[in-house]
Amino acid sequence: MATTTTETKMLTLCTSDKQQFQIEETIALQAVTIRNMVEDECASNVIPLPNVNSKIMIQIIEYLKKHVDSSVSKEDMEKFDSAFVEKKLSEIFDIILAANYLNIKNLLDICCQRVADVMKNKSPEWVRRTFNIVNDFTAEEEAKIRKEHEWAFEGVDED
Amino acid sequence: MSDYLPHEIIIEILTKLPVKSILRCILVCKAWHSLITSPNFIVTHLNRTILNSKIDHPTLFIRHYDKNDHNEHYTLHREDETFGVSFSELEFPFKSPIGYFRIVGGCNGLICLSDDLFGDMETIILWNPSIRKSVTLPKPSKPKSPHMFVLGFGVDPMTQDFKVVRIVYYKGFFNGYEAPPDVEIYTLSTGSWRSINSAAPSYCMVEFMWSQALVNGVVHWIANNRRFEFRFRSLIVSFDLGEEVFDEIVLPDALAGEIATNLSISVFRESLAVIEYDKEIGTMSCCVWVMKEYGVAESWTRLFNIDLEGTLEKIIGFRKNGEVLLSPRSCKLVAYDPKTGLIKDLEILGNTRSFHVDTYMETLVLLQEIVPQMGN
Repeated sequence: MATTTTETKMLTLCTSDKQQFQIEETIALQAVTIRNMVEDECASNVIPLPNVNSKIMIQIIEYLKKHVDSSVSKEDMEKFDSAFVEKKLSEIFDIILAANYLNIKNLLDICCQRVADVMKNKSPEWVRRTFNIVNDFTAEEEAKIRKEHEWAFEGVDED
Repeated sequence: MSDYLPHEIIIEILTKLPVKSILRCILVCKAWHSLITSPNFIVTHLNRTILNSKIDHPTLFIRHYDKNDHNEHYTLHREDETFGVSFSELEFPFKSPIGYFRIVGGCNGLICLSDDLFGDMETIILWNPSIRKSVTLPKPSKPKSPHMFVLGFGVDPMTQDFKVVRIVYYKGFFNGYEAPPDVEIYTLSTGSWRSINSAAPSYCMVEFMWSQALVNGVVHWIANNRRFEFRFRSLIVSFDLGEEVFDEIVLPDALAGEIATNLSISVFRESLAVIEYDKEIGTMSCCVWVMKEYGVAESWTRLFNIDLEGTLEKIIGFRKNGEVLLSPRSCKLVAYDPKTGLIKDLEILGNTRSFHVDTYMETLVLLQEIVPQMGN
């Protein structure tokens, strides 16, 4: 771990629900959006993040703190990542949106992978419910597609 | 689409799914249907799959023809320590009326099959086993007189379009075939053949036993040069699938002096390789040569010699770790380690000539052509 010196630069992030988070700059700069703001000097002391709420911010900071630590082995980092995404999908969706906005590539990647892993054996009906999508196929169209790829619908998890 | 997630995130998630799961997702809604069957998505997915196969352990397929059940079998093997045990078998939906198909080549999830080994059927099929779709090519133009043909298959690196090139040689007045041949190209995007007239090779390729090696978007075959009357010189003829031009690659003297039927072309760790057989009865052995730097004639290197005390029948291919897949006389497939000389039986029995090894990957190629368009 880096030794804390008096020179450690701190940044203040302000979430959509007006909570303020003081974190080390090196941690925050892993988010490309924050880095750009700091480099462009468009943010003064407090960086506003209107698209992220405090509940999600806490989790994102947890992730960034781990990933800034170069002493963590590749194996331990993978363990951390897989434990980190063990959350409800609705929560993962929120983290995805925040990671997308903050531009944190790795985090976005592991969260999308998590969604894919959960979705893998699920039915189209499950996907519709989970993603809040309305089925706009007619019964005939649906039957036709199902027949065309019949084998792909075998071995699907029970809803 | 989804209320929750933006379009690019949906693409991100979908491309991380296995192909079978992606296919189910086309039933979610019309927007997902047109997204997944769009050429853009298919190419994005393909590029990711190619990238991942370089990072993770790639998969090989092995084809063999079983004399007992008269069927072709396509088994999948991971390029790691589990290689010897197949983790899955593909469902093969075709049947050659007599024996088995010639596998012209595999590329980006498509396998090109030609039914010309046991008769003059000229059926050519592009098959994507991972989505269980295939396209049977329209008949090429009918040659006027006795002829032989050679095929090449691969992808145009610039347009990502799949192409089959067909080179037709006509029988000459004396023995052998005449060069230059007629050349036709099939492109998947247009679904049709067209002839090209520019600079067909003035060399003849090996009749019947020809095979291709695909490296860097270029197809390669063994050919011989008949410009010197009584002296054959062997060489490699190449066809660039992007530029659609032929070229030639010179072989080192030790190989060029060998008759073309004793040479076979292959790919060793992404490099062009030539296997030189010594077909003396009873002592059959072979030498493996590699062109270490593509296109540089000086980089041809003799890698190793394989002598199995006369039991060697045919080299089928190479693994990433350097192992050689070969068939000894007993109609089985084994992995041979050239460093230690050790042989591992893969317990795959089949006709020696039916063995084929190529890369396999799950892609969505052919999905777009087949799925009927839905109204918006």
